[in-house]
Amino acid sequence: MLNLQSEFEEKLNTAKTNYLKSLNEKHTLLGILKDLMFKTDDLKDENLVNAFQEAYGYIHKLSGSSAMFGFSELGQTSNKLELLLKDFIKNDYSSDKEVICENFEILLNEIEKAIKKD
Amino acid sequence: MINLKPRALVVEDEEHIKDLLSYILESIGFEITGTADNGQTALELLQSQKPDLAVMDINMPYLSGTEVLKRCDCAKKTCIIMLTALTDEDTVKECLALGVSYFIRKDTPVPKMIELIKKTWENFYNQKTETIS
Repeated sequence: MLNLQSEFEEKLNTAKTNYLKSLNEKHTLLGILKDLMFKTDDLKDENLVNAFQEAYGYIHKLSGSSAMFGFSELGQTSNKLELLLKDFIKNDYSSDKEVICENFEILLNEIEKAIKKD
Repeated sequence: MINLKPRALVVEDEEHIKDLLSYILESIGFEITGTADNGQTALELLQSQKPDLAVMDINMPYLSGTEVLKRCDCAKKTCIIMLTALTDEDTVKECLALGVSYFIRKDTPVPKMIELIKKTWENFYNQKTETIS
């Protein structure tokens, strides 16, 4: 029983370590997407539209997974940005882009904090 | 040799959560017979494998968890636990009407999550056994 428990704990720790590694990758990717998203307002630019949609996908996953791995603040921050991005995309990219930019910055900082903390 | 372990399906589009859920279910005696990272695959596996239990995300590519439930009449045979980051009242009502056994928020600590899955499975299993007998 004890063996099973320690085996399980070991698996949980491995899962958390793998998750932290993926946070590093996500941080880099989201940084690249942020540059793409906020360097132009030209909605005819396919790269801009794709960047927003790709970022939404990453942030949606981050929102659920960070909470599950015990990073509650990161979960809340990503959840807030997920909802902002969802509205922004739904409104044909016409709502306040500045708010999204600010929250994006907060999220990147929060990811860094989570990585450093563990 | 007969395999007596209850069979479970894990449906989640985030790889790390999918792995974690598989560990959790295996640790409490389930055999993972399938995993899916989108609603379409989930629907196919639910229909072909008829698992005893399925833990399923709501927001997924192609088909949402709610859409999967609408398309397969599986909640009587399979104990369905929805796992979600957001639980708005309308979605909860809709899923309950479709026969979902329980909702678990993704920010639930792992030990509590284990307890809730076990309890939900036991209730489902007991009800199913009572109906049969």
